[in-house]
Amino acid sequence: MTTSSNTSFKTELLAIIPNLRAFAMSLCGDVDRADDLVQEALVKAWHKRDSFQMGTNLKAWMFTILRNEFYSNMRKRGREVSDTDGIYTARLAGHPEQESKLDYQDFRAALAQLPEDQREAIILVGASGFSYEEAAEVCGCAVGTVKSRVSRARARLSDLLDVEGSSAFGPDGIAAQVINKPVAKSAA
Amino acid sequence: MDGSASSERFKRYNAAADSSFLEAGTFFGLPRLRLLRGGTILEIGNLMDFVMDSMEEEGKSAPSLDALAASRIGKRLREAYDRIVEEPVPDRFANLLSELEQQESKRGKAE
Repeated sequence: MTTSSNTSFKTELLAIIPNLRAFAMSLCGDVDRADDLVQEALVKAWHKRDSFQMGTNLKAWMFTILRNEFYSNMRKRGREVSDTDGIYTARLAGHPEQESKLDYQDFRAALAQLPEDQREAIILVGASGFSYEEAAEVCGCAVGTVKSRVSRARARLSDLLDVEGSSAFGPDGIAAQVINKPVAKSAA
Repeated sequence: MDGSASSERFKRYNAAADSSFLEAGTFFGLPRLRLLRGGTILEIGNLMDFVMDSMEEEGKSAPSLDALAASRIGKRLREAYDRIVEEPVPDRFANLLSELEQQESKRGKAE
């Protein structure tokens, strides 16, 4: 690669980093590990940049690399990473300035309860701005699989947030939980 | 959820959206209404969410991107994500890329 194409590759990578960090965070739930993951992905991307075709979707390419790094690390370390619940909680506890953002904490906690495949699917499609097709490419699975994961993730989040959200309103939380139960029979 | 149950729910939502949803009895048809202490209504959930959720179930297909983007879940998801996107990026990444670039150009000259 020429120096100028190196520079433009670098510039484009830099522009993707904020997004990459957010995705990494959603995968591992911990800011330090997320940044290490981003760093590994950047080094890897740099060394295999000849295999990237300029003008195609660099963001999807980077996300794919980062995701592969994450899962290959996870395999190396065994299943320790699967305790994302605890990791998320620790991360939340470390941010007292967000205490007032109860909704946000609820949301992060709910997100942490999703299975990994559903979480990454809903993040890619619902937050990172990928189409179902691109998300399928990043995850190396069928488009229909992404769609069903997103759908299940969304349904699960709705359930979790309804119950947890209303319990924050004190004594009425109990009433709210009754209200939150799906209505089995017609509410005549 | 099968088609008929979802259709029932859809009708309920619609009926609720119509005019009478502030009556206590219909709260039970609206699972996402939130209540404030003392029973005052704090936030009436986004009715459009219910309608869209139901419509999606009705069609038995995955939510469209638009529906996801417009939903309450979608909104909160993006808010949480954007908080991280908007965080200042540590210098380590720019430094790393500069280093990689310099290594490359040195190697280029040596060849």
